Amino acid sequence: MDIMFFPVVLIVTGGIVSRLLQKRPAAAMVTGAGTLCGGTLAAIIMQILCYCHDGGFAVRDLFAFPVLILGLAGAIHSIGYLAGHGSERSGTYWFFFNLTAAAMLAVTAVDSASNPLSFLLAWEIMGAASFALVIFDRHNQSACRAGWIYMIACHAGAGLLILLFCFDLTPLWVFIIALLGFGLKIGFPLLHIWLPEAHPAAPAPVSALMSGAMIELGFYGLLSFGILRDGNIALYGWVLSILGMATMLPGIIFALAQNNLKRLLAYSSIENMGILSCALGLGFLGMSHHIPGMMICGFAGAAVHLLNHALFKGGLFLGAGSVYKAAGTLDMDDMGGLLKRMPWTGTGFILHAAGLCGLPPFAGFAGEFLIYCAAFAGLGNRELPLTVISAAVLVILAVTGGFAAAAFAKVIGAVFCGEPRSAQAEDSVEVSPGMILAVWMLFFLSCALLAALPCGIRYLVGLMTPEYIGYGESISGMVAAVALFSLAGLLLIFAIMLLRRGLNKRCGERKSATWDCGYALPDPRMEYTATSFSRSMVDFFGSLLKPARKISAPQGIFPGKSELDEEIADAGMRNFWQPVFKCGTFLASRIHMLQSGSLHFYLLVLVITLIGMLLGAVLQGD
Amino acid sequence: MNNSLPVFAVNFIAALVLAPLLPGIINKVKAFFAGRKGPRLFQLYSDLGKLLKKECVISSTSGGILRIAPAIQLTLTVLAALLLPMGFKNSPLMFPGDVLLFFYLLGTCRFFSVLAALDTGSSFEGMGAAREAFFSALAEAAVFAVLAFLVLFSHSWTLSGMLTGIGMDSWISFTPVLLVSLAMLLVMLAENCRVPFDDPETHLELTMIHEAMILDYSGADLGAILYTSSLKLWIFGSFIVSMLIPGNILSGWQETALSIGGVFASAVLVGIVESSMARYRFLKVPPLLISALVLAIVAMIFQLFFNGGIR
Repeated sequence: MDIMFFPVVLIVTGGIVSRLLQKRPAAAMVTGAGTLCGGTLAAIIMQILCYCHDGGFAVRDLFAFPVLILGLAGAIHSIGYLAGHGSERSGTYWFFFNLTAAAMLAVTAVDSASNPLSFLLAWEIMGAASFALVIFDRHNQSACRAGWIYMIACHAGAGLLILLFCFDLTPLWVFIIALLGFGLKIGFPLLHIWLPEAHPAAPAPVSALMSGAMIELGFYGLLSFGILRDGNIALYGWVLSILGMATMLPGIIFALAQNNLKRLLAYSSIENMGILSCALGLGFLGMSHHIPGMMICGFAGAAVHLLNHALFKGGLFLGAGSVYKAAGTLDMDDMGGLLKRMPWTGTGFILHAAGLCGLPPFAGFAGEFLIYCAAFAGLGNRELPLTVISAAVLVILAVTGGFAAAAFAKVIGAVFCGEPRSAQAEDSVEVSPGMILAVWMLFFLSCALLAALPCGIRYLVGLMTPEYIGYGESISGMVAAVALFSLAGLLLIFAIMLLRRGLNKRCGERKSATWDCGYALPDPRMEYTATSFSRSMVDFFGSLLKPARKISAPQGIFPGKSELDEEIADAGMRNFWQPVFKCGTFLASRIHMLQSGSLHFYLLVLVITLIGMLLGAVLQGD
Repeated sequence: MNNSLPVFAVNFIAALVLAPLLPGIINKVKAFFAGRKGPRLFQLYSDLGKLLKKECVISSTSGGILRIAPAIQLTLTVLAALLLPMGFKNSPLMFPGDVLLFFYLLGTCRFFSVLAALDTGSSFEGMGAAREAFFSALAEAAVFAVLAFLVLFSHSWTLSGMLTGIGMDSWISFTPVLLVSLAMLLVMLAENCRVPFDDPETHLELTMIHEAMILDYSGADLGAILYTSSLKLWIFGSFIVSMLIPGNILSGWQETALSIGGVFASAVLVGIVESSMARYRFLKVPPLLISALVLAIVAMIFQLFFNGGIR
C-alpha cells in the first residue's frame, strides 16, 4: 500500500469532522488545521524515512513535495487569515481545503499508469473542491464569476482527459489531447484565462496551494499520460520549448500591467509555467539529439524551478494574503509604506520576490542557471535548428527575467515602499505570528534547497542515468559554485553593513524628509504609484495590452478632482474567447429561430423532414 | 600558467584602485571638447574621501531598503569583477556558466537600486526607477544575445574562456566580433547611464535616470554608490577590451599595461561619444537597445553561415 494512503485518509477525515463541527467554528478550525498539519508533516517524515531506508526516487515525489509543503504552510496561514474573513464558516472552509490537499496528494500517489480511473477521480475531486474554495467569498459577484470560469476550465480539461483514457489513440493524438487537457491546468496561452480570475478571488492560502502546487500537477499529468516512451521525443521537445516561450513572455508582460496584487502574481505563475515548459522542452531536445549535458541541465533545471516556484510563489501568495488582511485591499495603488508597518511580512515578501525573479544569492537563480546551461549546451551543438532554438530561449528567458524583475520592483515599490496612499494602509499593522511563520518557513526551505542541490543533482543523475554520472558531477560542481558564491555574497553584505554601522557611528546618521528637489513637504499623492511605474512599459507593449484608459484631466484655473482609470483586459479573453462565445451565441440565436413556438411551423418542419427522408429512401432504392 | 594568478591579482587590485579614475577621464575628455579646463582627474578620489567623513542623512520614509542597498550593490559588483578575466588572465574563481552569475549579480544590484529609489517615496526617484527597470530589461536581451554569440564563437561556458578565447585567428573573421563589441558598447552606455541613454551631467531631475535614483543618498552611502558605478564602468570597459584584443600575444606585464590602457581608452571613447551627441528622447531609447540586440543577432548569423559554424 502506498505510504501516502494514511495521510490522505487522515486529512479527509479531519475535513469531514470539521464540516460536522460547523456550528462550533473554533473546534472545526482545530480539527481541520490540526489534521492537515499532522497529515502533511507525517507524510513528509515518512517520505524522508523511506529515502533513508532504501533510497530511490520517483518523479511523482517531486510533485508531491510542493503539495505537502504548501498544504502545511497554507494550513498555518489560514488560521490567521480566516479570523475576520469568514471564520464563522470555517467548517466549510476546512472541509474543502483538506479535500483539495488530499485530492492533490492522491493525484500524485495513485499509480496512474495502471489505474487511470482513480487518477481521473482524484483529478475531478481536486477541481471540484478547489472550485468551492474559489467561491468561498460567496456574496462577492466577481468571485462567483471567477468560480464559473474556473469550473468550466476544469471540466473542459476533465472532458478531454476522459477522451484520452477512453480511446486507443496514436502517440501524436495522445500528446495533443493531453497538451490541451492538462494545458488548461498549466495555463498555456489561450487556455490560461481562468488563472487571472480564480487566483485573486480565492482566499490567499488557497491561491498559494493552487498556484504553487496545483498548476504544476498539470505537468505531472502531461508527463505521465501525454509523453509516451514510443512517441516522438524530438517533437515533444520542440512543442514544449516553443510553447514555453510563447507562454512566458506574454505572461510577464501582462503581469507587469496589473494593479491587482494577486492578479499580477497569477500572471507571473503563467510566466513561470512557461519557463518550466521551456526547460522540459530543452531536456527532451537534448534527449532526442543525444546531448547529455542539455538533457540533464534541462530536466534538472525544470525540477529545481518547479520546487522554487512552489516555495516562492506560495510565499508570495501567502504574503499577499497578509497584506490583504492588513490593508483591506488588493489594489496596489491604494497601498504603500507597508514595509515600515509590517516589517516581517514585508521583508519575507521582498526575499521571496527576489528569489522568484531568479536573482542571486537566492535559490531561484539555481533553477534559471540550469535552464540557461541547457541552452548553452544546445548552442554548442552544430545543428542549425537546435542552435536557433537555444539562442531564442536564451534571449527570451533573459528578457522575461528582466521584466519579471521590473514587475516585482513595481509590486514591492507600490505595496511596501513610500508613504501609504489610503487611510486603511496607513493604519495597517503586522499580522499574527503564525502568518509570518508560514511565509518565512517557505523562504528557509528554499535556502535549504539551494544548499542541498549539488548533492541532490549528483545523486539523482547517478540514480536515473548512471551512464552520465560524469556530466552529473560537473553540473553539480557548477551549482555548488553558485551556492558558494551566494553564501559569500550574503556574508560580505553582512560585513559591509557592520562596517557601515561603525562608520556612521563615528560620522553620525540622522533622519530627515525625503529630498524632493527642495520641496519640503512631499505628499503621498505625489508618489509614483503602481500604475505610473509601469506606464511607459505598458505603452511600449500597447498593441498587445490595449489598455483602456478613462481620464478626466484637471481643468481650469482651480482644477477640481481629476481621475485616471486604467483597465487591461486579458488578450486571450478579449481576442479569442469572447469572439468565439459571441459567434456561438449568434449561431444559437439563428438556430433558435426554428423554435418559434408555433405548432404550424413545427408541423411544416416535420412534413419537410418526412418528405426528405422519403425522397432519400426512394433514391437509394433505385 | 604559473604566473597567471599574480597577474590576475595585480589587475584586480588595479581595477579596484583605479576605477574612480574613469569618471575623471570622461570628464576631462568632455571638458577638452568643450574648451574648458574641467574638474581634476582625481576629483572622484577626493569626493569619496570627503563623503566618508560626512554625516549620513536617511529619508524618514524609508523602510530600510535604502540603508542596505549600497552594501548589496558594492558587494555584488566586486563579486562580479572577481569573475571577469583581468589582464587577459583567467579568473581563478571561474567555473562553467559563471557568465550567467556575472550578469545576474549585476541584475541583482539593479533590482535593489530600483527598490531603494522607490523606498524613498520621492516622485523623481520613482520616475528614475521606472525608466531604469524598463531599459535594463530591454538591455538584458542584447546582453544574452551577445552571450549566445560568445558561446557559439568560443565553445566555452566560462566568462574567462569566452573573452580570452577570442585569439589571433579570430581577427581573420573579425566582422562578427566587431558587431558584438558595438552591441556591447551600447549595453555599456545603457547600463552605466551614459549619453545617449542618460545624461549624468544634467541638473534637471526630470530628465535623469540613474542620478534621479540616488538623490536621497548622502555620506558614506553616496560614496559607496559612486564608487560602485565607477567600478561597473571599469567592468564593462574591461569586458569589451578583453573581447576585442586577442590575449597571449604579449608577455604577462605588457598584457597588464595593455588591458588597463584599453579600459582607459574605453573611457576616452565614452567621453568622445558624450561630447559629440545629445541624449536621446526616452521614446527613442528602446529602439536603440533593440538595435543592440539586432547587432548581436546579425553577428550570430554571420558566425553561423559564413565562418563555418554549422556543418
